[in-house]
Amino acid sequence: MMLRRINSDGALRVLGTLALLGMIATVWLGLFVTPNAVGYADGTVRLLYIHPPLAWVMFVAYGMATLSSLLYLWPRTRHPRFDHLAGASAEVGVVFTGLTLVSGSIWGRTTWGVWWAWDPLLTTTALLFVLYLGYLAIRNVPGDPETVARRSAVAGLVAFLDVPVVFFAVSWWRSLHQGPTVNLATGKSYVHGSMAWTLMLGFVSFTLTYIWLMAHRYRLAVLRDREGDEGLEAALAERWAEAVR
Amino acid sequence: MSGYTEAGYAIVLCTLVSYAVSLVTRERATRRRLPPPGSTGIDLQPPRGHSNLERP
Repeated sequence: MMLRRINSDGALRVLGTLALLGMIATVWLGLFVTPNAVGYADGTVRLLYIHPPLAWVMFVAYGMATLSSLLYLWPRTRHPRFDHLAGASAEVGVVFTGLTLVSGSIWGRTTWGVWWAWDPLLTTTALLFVLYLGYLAIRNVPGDPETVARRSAVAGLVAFLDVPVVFFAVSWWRSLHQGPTVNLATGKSYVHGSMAWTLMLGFVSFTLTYIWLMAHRYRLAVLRDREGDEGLEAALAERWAEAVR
Repeated sequence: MSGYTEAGYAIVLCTLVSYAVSLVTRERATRRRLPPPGSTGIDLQPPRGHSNLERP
């Protein structure tokens, strides 16, 4: 029901507009309004307004993909919509993981002096990227739709095993990467004032963007599914016409 | 500013916009290929006088 409401054309248009306005505001505040922090290379701190929100969406996307996979595997809730939802969310998650790695790499170049370091957080995030690329590849292996969906759901659950490792990597190992800017457990924040507001706006805007992208990817999957069914029906009708002739 | 930060913003925004445009374009193209809901454009009923034929 909720999925149908978000998926309606009007709701998606409103969501897209809000996401776009939020993005424009985040970029404007992030690049031109917020102050430069002491101790960082010139302007580097401004990456703060996009890098953590990108990583946040990555976790949300993989969380949603896993939940949908579980709902598909559970016999009582098994429905192709959960398979489509898992695939859509994982694909958007992969885009955001790639962007998290790129923005993190730029941060590393300006702060640590290197584009890449085999640090626990960076390495496990790169592994996560590859795992979900594999998941998307498994989704494209031809086969009976139900078998493909079940296989993909299991692969999605396996890929998700790396998500908590990435999330807690900074706490578990002595990492080159700094600790969380906003500690969700204690509520302690290392940014204040306009920097904090811009960061919050970044989180909201990127989350809205994720929902919009995911909804469109989901619609595309449903349409492709319908297209496949129509193609099958057309082929059957053609065979039927040949048999009658 | 160093230029790295702006490059980071540009990469992120361009990627997201490109992905969004590709999704909307693919969705529209798929929608165009499909007949309106409820009509396949193909008559799936067996023709009259051949009702004893099994569908292949």
